[in-house]
Amino acid sequence: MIRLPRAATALLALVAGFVALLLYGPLFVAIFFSFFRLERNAVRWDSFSFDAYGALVQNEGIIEAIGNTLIVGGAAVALSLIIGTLLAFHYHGGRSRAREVLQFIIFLPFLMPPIITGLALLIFFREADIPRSLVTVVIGHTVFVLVLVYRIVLARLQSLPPSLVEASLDLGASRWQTFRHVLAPSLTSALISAAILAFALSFDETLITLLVTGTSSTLPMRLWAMMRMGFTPDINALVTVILAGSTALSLLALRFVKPPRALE
Amino acid sequence: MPSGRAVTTETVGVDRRGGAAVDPYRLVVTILAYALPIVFILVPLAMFLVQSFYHVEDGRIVRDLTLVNYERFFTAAAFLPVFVRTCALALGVAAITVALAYPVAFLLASLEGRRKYALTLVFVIPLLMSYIIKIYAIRSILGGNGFLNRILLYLGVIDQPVTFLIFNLNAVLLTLSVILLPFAILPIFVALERIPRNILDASADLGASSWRTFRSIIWPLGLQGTVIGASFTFMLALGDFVTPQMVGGTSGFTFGRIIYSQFGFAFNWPFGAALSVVLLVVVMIAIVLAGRLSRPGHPS
Amino acid sequence: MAATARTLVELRDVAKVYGDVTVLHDIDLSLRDGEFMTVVGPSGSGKTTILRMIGGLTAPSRGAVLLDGDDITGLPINRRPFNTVFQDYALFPHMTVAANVGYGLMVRGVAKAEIGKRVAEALDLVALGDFSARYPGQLSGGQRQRVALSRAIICEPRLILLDEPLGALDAELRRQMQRFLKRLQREIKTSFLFVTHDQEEAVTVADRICVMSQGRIVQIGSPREVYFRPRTEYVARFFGDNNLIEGTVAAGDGDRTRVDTALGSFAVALDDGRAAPPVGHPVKLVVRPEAIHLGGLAPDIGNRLRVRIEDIGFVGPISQIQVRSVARPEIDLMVKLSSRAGGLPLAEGGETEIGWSDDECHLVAP
Repeated sequence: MIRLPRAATALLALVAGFVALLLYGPLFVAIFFSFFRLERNAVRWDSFSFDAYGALVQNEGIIEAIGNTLIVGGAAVALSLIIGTLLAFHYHGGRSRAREVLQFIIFLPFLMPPIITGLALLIFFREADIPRSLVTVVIGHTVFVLVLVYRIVLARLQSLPPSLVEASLDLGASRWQTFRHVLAPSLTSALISAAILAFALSFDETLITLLVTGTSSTLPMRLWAMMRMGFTPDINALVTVILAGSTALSLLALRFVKPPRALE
Repeated sequence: MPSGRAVTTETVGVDRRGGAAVDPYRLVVTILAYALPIVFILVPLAMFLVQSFYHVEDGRIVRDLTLVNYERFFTAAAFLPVFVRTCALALGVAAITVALAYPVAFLLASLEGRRKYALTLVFVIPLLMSYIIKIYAIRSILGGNGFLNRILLYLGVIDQPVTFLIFNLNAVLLTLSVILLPFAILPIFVALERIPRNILDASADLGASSWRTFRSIIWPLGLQGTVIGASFTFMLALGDFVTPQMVGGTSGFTFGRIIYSQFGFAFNWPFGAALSVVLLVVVMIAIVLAGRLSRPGHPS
Repeated sequence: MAATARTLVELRDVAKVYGDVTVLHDIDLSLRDGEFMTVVGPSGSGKTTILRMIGGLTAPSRGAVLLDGDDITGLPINRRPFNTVFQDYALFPHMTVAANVGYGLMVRGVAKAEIGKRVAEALDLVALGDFSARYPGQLSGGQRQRVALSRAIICEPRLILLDEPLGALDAELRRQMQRFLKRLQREIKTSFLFVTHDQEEAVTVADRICVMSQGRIVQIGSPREVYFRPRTEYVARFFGDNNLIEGTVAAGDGDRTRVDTALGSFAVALDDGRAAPPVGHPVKLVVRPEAIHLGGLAPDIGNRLRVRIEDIGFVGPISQIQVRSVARPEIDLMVKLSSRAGGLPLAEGGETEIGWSDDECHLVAP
C-alpha cells in the first residue's frame, strides 16, 4: 500500500500500541497474577510459583471441560471439512439458481448474530426430540464453521484452470482418478489452513455453545458456571495456557495460510 | 469459447439426446450436499420463526399462531426501551471499534514483508482465544479490587476505587469494544490491502498530497471493508448475552440477556423467539443500510 | 502427405447452440487418417468448438461425431482414443515432467517399468530427455509446450487435437515449432487436427486447411487450393494480401472466360473441370500481388493495365508497391516484387504498365 511519511507512521504506531495494550493488557495481567500473589494492596514479589498451574492441572472440572472443547473442535472440523469440500465441489460443478440459494443458506449462520443460530438450533433439537449433549454442540459448531471451509476450498477450486481437469479426463482418467491425482494435491494446503482456522473459531465460540449444550461441560459452560460461584486462581493459569496455545496455532496457520499478497 | 466454463456434465461429453445422463453417484452426492445445510440451517430457522408465533399458557406452549408476543414486545414497558438502549450500545461499540481499528489496519497495510505479517498476527491471535476467557481477564481488571483501580490508586490519579467501570453498561461497552476490536481490524485490513499500488502512485504523480490521496482514493476504496467491520461488530454486540451477564451486573441489562432468560428462568420460548426475530430484523436492516452506504462509486 | 483417403473422424450435420447464440451451423467435416488438418478462422468462428466437440469436451446440440463410421457422440472424453494439447498446456503443476507425460499410462494401469521406458522415449522424441525430473514451473513456454505434446503422443491416440498450441510463443520459436510439428506428424503418422487463427501458420503446416467464418465452414482444401483458388471473397482476403476487382462475366472462349470490369476486360483461365459462370453474373476478379508483373511485360501476358506508382514500401524480402489505375483513379492495387539491394527501378509518381497472365487470376462470387 502507500508509503507513509514518518510522522504519520509514528502516530499510527501510537494508536496501534494503544490498541495492543487494550487487547493484551488484561491478558498479561492475568498471566502475571498466575505467577504472583496479591496480598492486601501490594504485590508479593517473592511469591513467584507455579502453584496456580498445579491447581489447574488438578482441577478435574476444568480439565474435563478443556478436553470436551477440544473433542468438539476436532469433530466439528472433521465434519465441516468433509461437508464443506462436498459443497464446494457441488457449487463449482455448474451454474444454477439452486446453487446460489444453497450457498446463501451456508452463509446464514455466519451472517446472523450467533444467538439466533443457537436459538434456532435449540428449538430444532427440542422439536425433533434430540437431547442436548456434546453431539448437539458439535452440530452447532459445524454449522457455524462450515462457511469458512466452504469458502477456502471453493476459492482454491476456482483458482485451478479448468483445463487441468479436462486434460486429465482427456488422457483417460476417470473422475475419481482425476480427483485423486489432480485435484486433491492442490487442495491439501487449502484444507489444512481451513482446518486450523475452523478449529480456532470453534474454540472461541461461546454463544452457540452455551445455548445448545447439555450436561457434559465444555470450557465456556464450565466458566459460565464458575461465574456464579466465583473464580479460582487457577483461571489465571488457564489464561496463560490458552494464550500460549493460540499463539502456537497462529504460527502454525501462518505456514499454511497464503497471505493475500506474496511477501514483498 | 464461453467464459466462466466450469466442469459440467457437458465437458464430460454426456449424451444429450438420451441415454443415462444422470450418474447415480453424482445424484447421491448432490442429495447429501443439499440435505445437510437444509436440515440443520434452514429447518431450524423456519422452526424458530414459527415458534415466535406461538405463545405460552400455564407453563405450556400453545401451538396456535398469534401475534401476542410481538404485541407484548412493543407495548410492555420493560422491553422496547431496553432494546433501544442495546441498539445504542451496539452502535457505540461499532463506532469505537472501527475508530480504533482503522488506524491499526492502515498501519498494517502500509507495512511490508515480514513485519507486516508478524504484526498482523499480533492483532489476530486474540481472536483465537476462548471468548469467555477474554471477558474474565477484562473483568478482573475493571473491578473495584481490579488491577486498573490499583494502578490508578497507586499512581495517585484517584484516591478512591472507581466503581463506574464495572457491573454496568459502561463495563459492557468497554468490554465488548475490546473483545470485538480484532473483528473490525480484519475486514478493514483486507480492503485496504486490495488497493492497487499503482493507483496511489498515479495519484501522487498527478500532484495530490497525502491527505488528498487518502480522502479521495484510499478512504472510498476502503469503505466497503470499513462498513463490513462496523456491521459485523454491531451485529455481534447486539446479540451478545455473555458479556452483559459477566460484567453488566444488574444495571447492565441488555436485550441479549432478556432473550437468554426467556430460554432459562422465564421459560417462554415463543416470546424469546419473537424477541430474537426483532433482533434479526434490525440486524438485517443495518446490514442492508450499510451495504448501500458503501456501494456508490465502489469499483468492485 | 502420406495421408490415405480413408476417413477417420467425421462431423455430420453438427450444430452447437448456447442459449440463443448459435456457435456452429450445419458442419460437415471429414478428417482423413494420417493427415495434418488445420482449422483456421478468427476468434468466434467456431474453430475451437469443433476441436472440443471431436475431443468430447463439448457435446453437439445436433448432429453426430463419428469415428471409423461409428457414432461416438455419446462417448465421454476419457474413453475417446484422442488426446488434446491445450492452449495453456494444462500441465499438472505438482507433478514432474516425467509424471505428467506418464499420466495417461498411469491411469490406465500400465506397469511402472513400462511407463518409465515409454516416457523416456516420448521425451526423446521432443528433445526433452534431460528434463524428466523438472517441474512445469521450472520450464520455459516452449519446453512446456513440448511436454504437453509428448504427453499427448505417448498414449498413441488415433488423433491428436491441438488448440492454438503455439499462440504463446515468440515468432522465431513459433516457426521452429511449426516445422517440428510437421516433421513429427509425418514421422509418427498420427492424424493431427490443429486449430489456429494465424493464416500463415495454417498454410505452413497443413495437408488440408478448413477455413471457418462465423460458425460455418467456408472452404476445405490444400494450402495451395485455398491460397490460389479461394472459393469466396472471404477466403481470398483471409490468406495474405489480395487484389479484388469487381466485374461481370462476359462471354468466354474454350477454356477461358472473360470478365468486364471498370478497368477493362480481362481473361481468366478456368479451373479444371469447372464450368464458366453464366454470362452477366457479378463476380470479383482475384489477383495475388505477387502474380502481377510490373513494367517490361512479356508478350504472352494478356491482362494489362496502365497505372501510376503511388507508394513503394520496403518490407524486407518483399517490396509492396501501391499503384493506382490511370483510367480509373479511384481503383488502386497492390503489387509485390522481390526486393533488390540497389532498389527497384521505379519512381513514385511514375507511370508504367502492370499485367498478369490469365492463369494467375481467379474468380469468386462477390
